[in-house]
Amino acid sequence: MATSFEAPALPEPRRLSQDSRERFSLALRVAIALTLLILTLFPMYWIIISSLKTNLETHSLPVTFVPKVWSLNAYREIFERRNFAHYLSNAMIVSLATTFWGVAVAAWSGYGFARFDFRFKAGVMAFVLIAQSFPRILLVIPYFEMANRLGLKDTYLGLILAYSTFIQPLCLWIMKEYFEQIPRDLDEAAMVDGASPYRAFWDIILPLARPALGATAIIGFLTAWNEYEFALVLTSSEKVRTISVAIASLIGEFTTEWNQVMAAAAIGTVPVVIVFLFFQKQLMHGLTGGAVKG
Amino acid sequence: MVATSQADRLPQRAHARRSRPVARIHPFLFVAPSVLMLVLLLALPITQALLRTFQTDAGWGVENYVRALRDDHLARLAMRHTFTFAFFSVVGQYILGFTVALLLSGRLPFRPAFRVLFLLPWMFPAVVPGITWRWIFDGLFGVLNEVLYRIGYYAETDVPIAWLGQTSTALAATIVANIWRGFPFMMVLLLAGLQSINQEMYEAAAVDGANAFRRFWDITLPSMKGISFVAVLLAWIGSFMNFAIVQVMTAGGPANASEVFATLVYKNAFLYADASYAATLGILLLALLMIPGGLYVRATMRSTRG
Repeated sequence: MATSFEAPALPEPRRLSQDSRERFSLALRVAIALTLLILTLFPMYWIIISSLKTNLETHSLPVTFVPKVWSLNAYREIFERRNFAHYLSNAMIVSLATTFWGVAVAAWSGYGFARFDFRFKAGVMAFVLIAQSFPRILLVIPYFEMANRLGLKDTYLGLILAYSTFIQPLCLWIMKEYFEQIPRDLDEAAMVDGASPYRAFWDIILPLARPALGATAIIGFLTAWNEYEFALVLTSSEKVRTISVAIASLIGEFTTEWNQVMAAAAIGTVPVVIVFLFFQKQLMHGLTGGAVKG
Repeated sequence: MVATSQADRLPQRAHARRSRPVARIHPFLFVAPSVLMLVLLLALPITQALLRTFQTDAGWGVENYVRALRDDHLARLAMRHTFTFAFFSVVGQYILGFTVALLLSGRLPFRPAFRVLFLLPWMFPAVVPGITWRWIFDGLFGVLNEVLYRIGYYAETDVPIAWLGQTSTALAATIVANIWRGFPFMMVLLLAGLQSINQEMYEAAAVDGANAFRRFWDITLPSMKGISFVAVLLAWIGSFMNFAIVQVMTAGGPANASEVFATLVYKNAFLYADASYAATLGILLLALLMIPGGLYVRATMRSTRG
């Protein structure tokens, strides 16, 4: 890291061994990185490869690293016989709706939290933060009972409300943090001309917050799509079943068609990987800015 | 409204924090929607769950808590497992995450590609790591056993280990899956921390003759204390309440060998239909999580206010 700083002062022979030491350390870094990368990526490779085998081959020995018989049967089965397109669209509807609503409330209220002080502000902020430590498996119990009582079982609305439980605090915090970084002068300049705070928010500040809105939306979407507990408990029929529940339900009590399970896993993961690949920068921005301070 | 006095105050604008008082209704209208959500979606259900814990067959009482804390051996076992699960998960995630972060913060060819690929496990839906590793660990047809055969760990005639089917290895298998799933989160936070360290300190140390190890020990590690603390807290919280990975891999089995608190709560609520007791276990889980949670809140609020 600092060798260019030293190089001019060193005599010839020392510089050579410095060079080879550097090259060795770089080679070492690459070797370690590649090894860890292979370990990280192997399960993903295994998902794809297993999904392209026939059911018979997944239950044969020896286990093959490359399919002897390549087959799209698994994908055909889950889409034609097991209704997976429906589960994908359910997950999409619920995730998008939750995200949209989450970002809207987070932007609106986050502005309020960032700009104004009021008596219980610190307490509310602390509550928003501590909500991240609330175990979802506890929350499903009252949600289950409330959903039954209010007829929200197996409904999109029920899932959206449940998902908002953990998505809204997260989005709110990220938006608030971002708004706090926008200088107040801008709001006040807008309000000097007699504009209301709402005008200032809508016309001036909100357009400036576009990066944060993007980050919040992506984080919200990812969190919603990947969720399991609430979807498991609040849906019993296929009507609004999400992809997560559908994947897990493919594990049979006696036999399991692993190629289908892996195909389902692949299908369920592709949307979020796409979102991730396209919006990495915003995602990282939102996470390190919102989840962590200092 | 007060335009004339505004004009008088303009030159002072740079120093005044708020030169015009805002009507009290405005903050309320901005903040109300989310406070309403927080109350309805979080505070209310938690309160409801808490009240449920005091409902017993004989009316109101603390029997559920007595049972959970004194009588239920399974609850104590699940507690031990949960601590084990969280501890080893966090240690594994930290070591792996820190290593990768160090690699990514220095010279590495194709660094952006590495970074994207290392982040992938974290993007997966909660059930996918569980299900994938369940398949990898499968006793009969899983690829792990196949690899072990090929490298000679098993002899030809050995019976392959059923990793998820034997009590001694089930929990460990879930921990492996959890480490794989969670290390990118650590990596992101630690990488951000590494990149915020002042590079001049390294250069100064190199001039003073410090070798790589000393530079790491005296500069890198101390600078990473703050972010490591937050990262470990968050990772601990996430692992402690983990449900999807354990449930999908083992459902707490075999014979409760990998039972964690989350799976136990689920069992009691939905298999044994004992919502009151399940809520009790859940509240105890919540109480335990308030410690790392509170530390996290304090760390965050403190640096926010500054």
